[in-house]
Amino acid sequence: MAEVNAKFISQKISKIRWRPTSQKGLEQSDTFVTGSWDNGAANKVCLWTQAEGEKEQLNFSVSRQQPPESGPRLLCEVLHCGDVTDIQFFNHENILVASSTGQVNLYKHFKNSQTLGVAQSWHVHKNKQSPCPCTSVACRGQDVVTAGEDGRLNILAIGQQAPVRSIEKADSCSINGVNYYKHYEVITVNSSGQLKVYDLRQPEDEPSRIFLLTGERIPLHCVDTHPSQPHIVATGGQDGVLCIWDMRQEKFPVTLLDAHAADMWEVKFHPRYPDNLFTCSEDGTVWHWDVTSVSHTRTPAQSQGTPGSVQSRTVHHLPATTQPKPSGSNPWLTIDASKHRIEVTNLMHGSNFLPINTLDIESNTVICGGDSEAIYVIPNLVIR
Amino acid sequence: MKMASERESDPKVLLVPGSACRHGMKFTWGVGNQLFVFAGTPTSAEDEVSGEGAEAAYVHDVRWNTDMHDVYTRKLVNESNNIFLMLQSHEHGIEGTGRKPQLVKFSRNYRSVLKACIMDLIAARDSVMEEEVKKYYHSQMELFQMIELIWSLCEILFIETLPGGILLVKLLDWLKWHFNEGEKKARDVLREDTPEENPEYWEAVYCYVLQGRIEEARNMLSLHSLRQTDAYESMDELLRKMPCFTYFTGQSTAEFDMKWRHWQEESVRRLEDGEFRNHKNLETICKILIGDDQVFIQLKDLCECWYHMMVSKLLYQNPTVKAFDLQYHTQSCIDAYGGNSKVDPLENILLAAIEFDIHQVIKESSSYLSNWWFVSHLTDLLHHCGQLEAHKLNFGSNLREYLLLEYASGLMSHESLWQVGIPYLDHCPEFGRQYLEQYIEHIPLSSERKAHKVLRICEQRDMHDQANSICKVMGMKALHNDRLGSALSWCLKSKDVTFATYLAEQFLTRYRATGDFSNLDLLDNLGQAMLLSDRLTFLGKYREFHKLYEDGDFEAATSLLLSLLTARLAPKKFWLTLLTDALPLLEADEVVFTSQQTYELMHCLEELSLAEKLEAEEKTDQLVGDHKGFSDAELEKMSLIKLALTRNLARAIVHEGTVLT
Repeated sequence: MAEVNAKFISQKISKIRWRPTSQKGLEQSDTFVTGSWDNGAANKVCLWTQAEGEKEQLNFSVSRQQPPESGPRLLCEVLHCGDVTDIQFFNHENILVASSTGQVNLYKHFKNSQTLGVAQSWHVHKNKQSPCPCTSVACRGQDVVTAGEDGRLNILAIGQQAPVRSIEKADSCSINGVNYYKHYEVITVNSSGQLKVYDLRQPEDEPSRIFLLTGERIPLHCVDTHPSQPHIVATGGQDGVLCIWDMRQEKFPVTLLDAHAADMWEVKFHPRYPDNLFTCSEDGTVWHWDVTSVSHTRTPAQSQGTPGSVQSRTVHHLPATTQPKPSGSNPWLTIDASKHRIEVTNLMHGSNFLPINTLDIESNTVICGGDSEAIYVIPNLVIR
Repeated sequence: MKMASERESDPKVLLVPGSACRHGMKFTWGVGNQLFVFAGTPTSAEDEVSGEGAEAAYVHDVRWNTDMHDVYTRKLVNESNNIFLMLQSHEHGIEGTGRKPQLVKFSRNYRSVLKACIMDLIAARDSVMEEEVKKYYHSQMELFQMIELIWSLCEILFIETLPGGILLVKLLDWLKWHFNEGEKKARDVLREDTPEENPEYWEAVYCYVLQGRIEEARNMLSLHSLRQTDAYESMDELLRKMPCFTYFTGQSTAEFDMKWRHWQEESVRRLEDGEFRNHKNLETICKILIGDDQVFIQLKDLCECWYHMMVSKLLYQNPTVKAFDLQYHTQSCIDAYGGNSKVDPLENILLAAIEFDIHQVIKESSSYLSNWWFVSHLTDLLHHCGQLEAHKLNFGSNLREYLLLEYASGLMSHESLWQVGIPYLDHCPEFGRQYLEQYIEHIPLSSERKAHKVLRICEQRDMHDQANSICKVMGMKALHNDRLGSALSWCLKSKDVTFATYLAEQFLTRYRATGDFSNLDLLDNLGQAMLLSDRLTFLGKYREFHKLYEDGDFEAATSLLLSLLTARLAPKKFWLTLLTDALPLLEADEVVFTSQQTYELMHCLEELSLAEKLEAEEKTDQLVGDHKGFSDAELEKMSLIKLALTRNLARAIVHEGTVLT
């Protein structure tokens, strides 16, 4: 069983992100950033480190048996206007933070003074009357894209105040998540259960493709693309179901996996071992999905600690493709045939009751946080 | 502006600053424990006399029970919420003997988060500069220390419910944790080269002996320069031989009692033999060991308070005392400290606990400690221990529920902690739901994400009215922001027919104004949802017609258009638009409308102008001058359609005739 270390920080956490390491080395990042929400005028963006510090922190760990100094230590913090809705590291010391006021701030981390300061701020999402939350921000290379409840997509450039491009009527509902798919293409998920692909090179404001869930328009909350095979996309929505989509297929998801009992707030492929996927939910759980046994023709491993049986519903049978399937086809696209071999583990094992809003994974450590006002660090996971 | 909660049962007065309140004050409720207070308006007559009204108006935000809202206590709130929930789910678990250790564990968990909170507060107090804040943290810290003191006594008495013997060992532990004056003295003394010369040397030794910390006392004595003398060695031997009741050896109380009597008899003999005659201090120690009443009175300053004295006295007078008998030993100790009149509120709570009057403990704690956290959690724990017989209050439900509701209300009033409050309301069987229903509708919905969270809370508890009202609020918000698509998707979620009709109308109005549909991504994928209201169905079908037309499937488009008209699904005012849409189809190269279909279209057109005429006549009868009939453009359109229809009819008849032959 994975150990879970909790640190209570007196603010509900809406986003948590590992900072990428400065050198492209193999060492694991020990620094991460959190953003809070729903805290009146006192929302914060905080930078934490796991590294050993001179000052020891008291009050760590649920079980209170661990040495107290092993917890994350606050490096610096800055007040943030509105709820933090999304965080992305632009690079090692610049952090993009989206806000429920419709603003996107670029915070710079000054190492010498150990402070966070606003380097640039865009007010890109607006409504006629009330403030319009910016819901998601994504970046790749020098490009930044933001999405909001106003159904608008903005492409921003650092150092330039006006958006490079705005797709005003990208969506008639709220866009809940945006992610780069290919270099010039972005994927969005919206609150009526649609997944859209926009080709930013095209002059039209129409999406190049629309995918959708069948039946009820269940809002999709989050999206992540497979790190090495970007045509594989995972989404999570209000019903807690994990959907795997193949962008080369038409319109409907390849697989729906019944998962959480309530809204799935974040889904993440492991950046280096993408056969591992992590999801977190309003029901207070964090799940680790492992499909390595699907890809390797091993004897079906007995899944351990599986929270309920994982049932898979096929919505759309893959039409026979003209070219023969590559023999090593990705396990995420073939789980239907061998769903009993997905290993699913609940990492929180009942120690938490309130929603988990966000998670991030690097190497073998998952960090997550939610409405119980605690950062949970789950180290030493078995990643295959 | 914050107000501490009432300490006494009589009302607390809070002065609202500002002079503008000559005309009385008014207020309106905020969320939970919150009032917005503002100056009343003068009656008009008064206003004329005074002739002034242009004064700065203030709205005062008055809140109470806010002491769980600061940074450090929030940790306590969240951590204890976890323990609370685990305790509730444990209820259905093991029964009988296996339960007690579990419940003790829960109590310890509560105390450990409390301890952590105290440590945080101490660290905070020592690190801040501002006097005001320092003082606040200090008072908070003292409050929680008091709570911890009461809680640990309650844990020993009500939750662990230990037999005689072990009980006293536990009580000594309790003293050790909360009275460290002796330890502090010992530390000071040990810093010196010759500790015995420090006047506090003996006080420290006495303190250790009074708290039953024999090892430490012996260590102190072994530092004395006279340790080699007979008297000191004799005392050391006495202390070493003192029997102590241990958990694990399994000795019976009778066995222990015998050993104890034997040891104490020896102590008495040595005292009477005058072994310590030349050493006043050792004599005092020996008097403590034999439980001499006088010596405790003499050392009352070292005991600090009556309950310390009571435990110390019991150690040497009645070490196997049973929990229920503790109350017979309180009075003499209280008298030593000036009698009942000198007992402060905190001590009263402890006294009530020793007297096993749980309700009194909770009652006094509620009124004395300005904090619902403690009483609600303790009461709940005691309820699970079965120590709390259902105690019906004159108001509301039982005591446990009443306290949980109070605590949860404090949380629900907070902009961020409301989520923690909900589980507490869930565990109030009688009124919890009503409270939740009231609160949940007042949570401000600043973003869709938050709305989804609140919605989930409602759905999990089958609160359909509240869920629908959330959808409606979000829908209206989207509408005001001119986001028809969002509004429609919220509306579909709550299955609100009237709102759906209204929104569909809006879409159609927009279409008529611009000739273009907006929000196609949503409209094209309505599916079954369009059946919610007739107007929405029409909207969906009408859009389908456009799509068919664009795709060049004229036949399907035609029959759809016709069915929209003949099934009377289309609103009357939209007929002309539909007929106009038919124009290009009527004029198409190929004959699309059959003669039968053309007749039906003609029928519709006729009905439209007839209705118009009837209305016009009615208006003229009533001598209403400004009747607006069809505009010129519309009339022209109608004659165009009429022309196209007749032409198409001719073509269709010819076409049908040809096909038949």
